[in-house]
Amino acid sequence: MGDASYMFTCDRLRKCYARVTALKEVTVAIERGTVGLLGPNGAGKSTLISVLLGQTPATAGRATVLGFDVRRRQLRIRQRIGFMPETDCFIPGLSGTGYVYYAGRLAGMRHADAMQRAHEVLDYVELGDARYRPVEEYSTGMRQRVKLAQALVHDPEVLFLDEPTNGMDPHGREVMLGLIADLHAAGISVLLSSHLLPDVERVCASVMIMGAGEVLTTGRLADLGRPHPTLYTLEYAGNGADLPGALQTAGVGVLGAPVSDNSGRVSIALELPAAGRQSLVLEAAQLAGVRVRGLHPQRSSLEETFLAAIRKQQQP
Amino acid sequence: MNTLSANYRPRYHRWSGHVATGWWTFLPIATAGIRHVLKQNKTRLAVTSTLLFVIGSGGLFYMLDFVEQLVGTEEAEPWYEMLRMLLRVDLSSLAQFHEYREVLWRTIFVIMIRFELFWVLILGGAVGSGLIAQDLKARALPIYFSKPITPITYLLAKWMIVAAFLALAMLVPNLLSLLLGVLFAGGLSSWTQTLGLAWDILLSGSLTMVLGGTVVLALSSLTADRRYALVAWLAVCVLPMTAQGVLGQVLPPEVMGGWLGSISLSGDFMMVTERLFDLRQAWQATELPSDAFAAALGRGIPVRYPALVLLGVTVASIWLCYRRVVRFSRSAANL
Repeated sequence: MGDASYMFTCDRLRKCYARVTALKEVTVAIERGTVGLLGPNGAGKSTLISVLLGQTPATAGRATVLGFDVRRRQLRIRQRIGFMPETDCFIPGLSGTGYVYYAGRLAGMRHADAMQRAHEVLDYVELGDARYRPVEEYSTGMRQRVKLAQALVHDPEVLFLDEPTNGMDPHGREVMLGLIADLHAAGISVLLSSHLLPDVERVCASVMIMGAGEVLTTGRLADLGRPHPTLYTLEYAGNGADLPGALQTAGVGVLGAPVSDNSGRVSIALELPAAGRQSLVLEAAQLAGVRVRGLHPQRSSLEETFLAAIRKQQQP
Repeated sequence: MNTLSANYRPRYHRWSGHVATGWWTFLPIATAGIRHVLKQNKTRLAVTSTLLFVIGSGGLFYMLDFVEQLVGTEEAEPWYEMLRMLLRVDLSSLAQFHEYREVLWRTIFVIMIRFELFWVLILGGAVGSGLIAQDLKARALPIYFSKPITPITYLLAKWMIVAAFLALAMLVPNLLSLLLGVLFAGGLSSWTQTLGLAWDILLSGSLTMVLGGTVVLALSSLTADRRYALVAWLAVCVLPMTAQGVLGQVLPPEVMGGWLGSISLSGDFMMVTERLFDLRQAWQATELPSDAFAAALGRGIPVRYPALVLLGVTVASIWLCYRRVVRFSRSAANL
């Protein structure tokens, strides 16, 4: 048994389909929490989830989920995991309650437990009286929520969510993201596979970026945004009327107007002529007669990090 | 109040109950499937109509019991004629009628099974054709295979659903008929005489459940449209039977005694069933001349060809089902 403190680990994990290699020697250890799984189409995200669920045997390498080996303990793993697939997948002829109850029974719950829990999770995902209607009649948002309910019915330790906000309207998306954040607060780890970077930024503490079957980047979102070499934010106090002119004279680009907060602190976005030329800003501030409170490099957004990782992989 | 209800959102509560795994996890799938099928009126009607077999065989047992009391009298003559028509056996030369009770009952059961095969065809198609096909159409497999369910558990559960209905078409009516026959005949001797029949009924019923269940599931796993599976099931059951009938007309009997005579699944099943019920030997052991019961017996060809065909079809069906379901289970996350 591996380390149970990790959500999952992969050690030189490889998966080949005929001539296509979907996962190339993936080695990664992802801690519990809310993790965004990002990557373009064909990156190997779904294959990785399939291998972790024990549905697809890996060609080589080893993987563990919650410390259990996926080859030998796949049923034990599935007891502790809830999976919400991307596509609509429903048992024909069942109502929302029947569907979630059935999922509970499949998970090994007793009849009474499954029924009680089905109502609890349907309340939680706010399906209300719609739970008694056939699932086929549900709107897209309701379908996504009932799929989340079936994944939650046996109270898993980890949730694998594949595009949970796919096709939802802005309000539905808000509700779904709120549920995911709340689940994390309740102690459930979440692996969120999504193409929507704002969704991942909103609810995930860390990300794992994949491309062409490889792990390109992993880490906490807060640490991933790299300091930009030339884009800075200057914070200052005092009358800065002459500051923009002084900066431009020094060769520093001013990006937009100064913005002030309630405490009298003013900030302005700048672009240095070259990396490492912060002294130009300090000299200009001295000339303009303002007190410098801080000079911080701007950090790249998740989108920039994502695109940079993909570009780096595509470089020969 | 409105503001309160608008802002209210239930919180997530953890659950601390017990979740079990084991081979028995097929039971929830099987029971849910049976319940779902029984919601359909046509299926309920077909299941209820199998009681006709019990009533029919009960009538025949009662008739035999009645004729037993008339043996040797002129009043028995019309009844002999009727039995000749129904059982294809001439019983007029029998003096000790009750001694032939077992062989007569065996004959009745073999005839009943021949009729029951039609119900097996109907119920097998109605119930089994959609069992896997509908899951494929609704893309339900990711739900099954993200839970502690293996392809074998899934298949076992689906087989149990169709097998339950095939049992209602053949095994259950036959056992009820046997019980009814014993009650009509009365006495301990009829129990001891006919006890072996229960075993034969059980074997033939199980054979139907295994063969019919696996074949219809294999066909259901090949398509996401249950109508195609239904048409294929009817074709597999009916077309070879027709072809065998045509070949039997044009080819010499010695050719039809080999593989060519074993292409019909229902024909093969009947030959194996007759062998199970030991009908030929049972009649030959009686004092009756062979022409008195020849019509009641099937073709006198070795049973090994039909048995091998049935075994081959069953194994191939299990293999096909397993391969298909494993394939879908492996691509479940990608569906």
